[in-house]
Amino acid sequence: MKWQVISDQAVNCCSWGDEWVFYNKLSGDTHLLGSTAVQILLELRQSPSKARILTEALAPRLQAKKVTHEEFSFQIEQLLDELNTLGLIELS
Amino acid sequence: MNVSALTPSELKFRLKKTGVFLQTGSFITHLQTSIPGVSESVGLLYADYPLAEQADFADFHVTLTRPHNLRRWFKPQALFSFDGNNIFKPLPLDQAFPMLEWGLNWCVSNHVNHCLIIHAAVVEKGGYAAVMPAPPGSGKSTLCAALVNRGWRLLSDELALVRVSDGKLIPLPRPVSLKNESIEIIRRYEPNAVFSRKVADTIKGTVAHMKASTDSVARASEVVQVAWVIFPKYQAGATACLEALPQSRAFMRVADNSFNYSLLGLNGFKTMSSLIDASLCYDFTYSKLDDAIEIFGALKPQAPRK
Repeated sequence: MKWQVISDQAVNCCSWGDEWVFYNKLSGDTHLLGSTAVQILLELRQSPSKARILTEALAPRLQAKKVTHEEFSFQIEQLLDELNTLGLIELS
Repeated sequence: MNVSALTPSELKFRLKKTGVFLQTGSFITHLQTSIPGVSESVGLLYADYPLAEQADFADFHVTLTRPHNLRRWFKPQALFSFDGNNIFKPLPLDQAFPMLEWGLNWCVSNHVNHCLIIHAAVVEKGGYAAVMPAPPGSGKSTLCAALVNRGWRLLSDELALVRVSDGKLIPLPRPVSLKNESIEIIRRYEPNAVFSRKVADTIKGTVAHMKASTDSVARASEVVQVAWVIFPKYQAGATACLEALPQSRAFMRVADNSFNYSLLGLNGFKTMSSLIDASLCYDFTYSKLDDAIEIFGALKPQAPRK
């Protein structure tokens, strides 16, 4: 099962600094997202991905030194769930 | 021809018989009323506003009447109607003029959807506008009243109208609504300011309206570029402090203060994005109006992007 962005055309965004504001045309909701959540979305926009592959791709850029791989992996899974709840991504 | 061209009795007669077509910013309101207190306040606070004599169209058809019931004789009331429909419950007759002002705000905030409408005061100086969104009680109107008495042009004390087509701010200069202590604070701050009679025991406490400057009314067709989004907060005893606010956070807070952001859908998002993109955003805490005026006077617009 791979995560993917729900219809790329449906999401509009703009960014200032580290934070992004996303508008979901399907739900009409606006979301303020931090940099890690945004990196997940941008990565999934390029191509659908499994959680494990996504974590490996993001770790070199986003994993803090004090955070273990398990903790980082848990963090990514949590964010995937949240993005799914917000209706921005889905499992294919 | 402006309202001031009519004598008080002519204005009263017209309001009662045919109504007047009042031009406020880019909107025309057809106003009809036989309530004497309203006619007096309109004559006082709307003296500089043009009458759209030739109008065969009005954006809003508004009447203020006294309901034909027993209360006509005991604790009389005033009733606001829009396009012939009663929108609000009647209020005590004494509150008829504030009710007109609140009703006119309702007309705009519920029907003007070619603009993103934000609950905010807007003032302009040097071609740049400051949008000040804030919940009631934050000191927004007090600050706005002080600024417009110290050289800033009033666009609105209540409704920021951001044109969806180009992001420009459309002026809607109308009387500034002040309540409770703010009334005397501004009276002392600017003794020449013109006020309507104080009305006590309204849902907002004691209210009075301050006349918009002649210049603000005369320039009501000049749209303006936004430069700052400032969230004001009055805090007793606080030193005036302007604190930078990340634009993304400002976006969400302005959206929370908008009447029709959701209704406009993607256009709302795009209009809000361009508004925030063009603005330096701040939280502003103040207690002394002179300090606030000084800080606003030192504001500089965002440097143009290369």
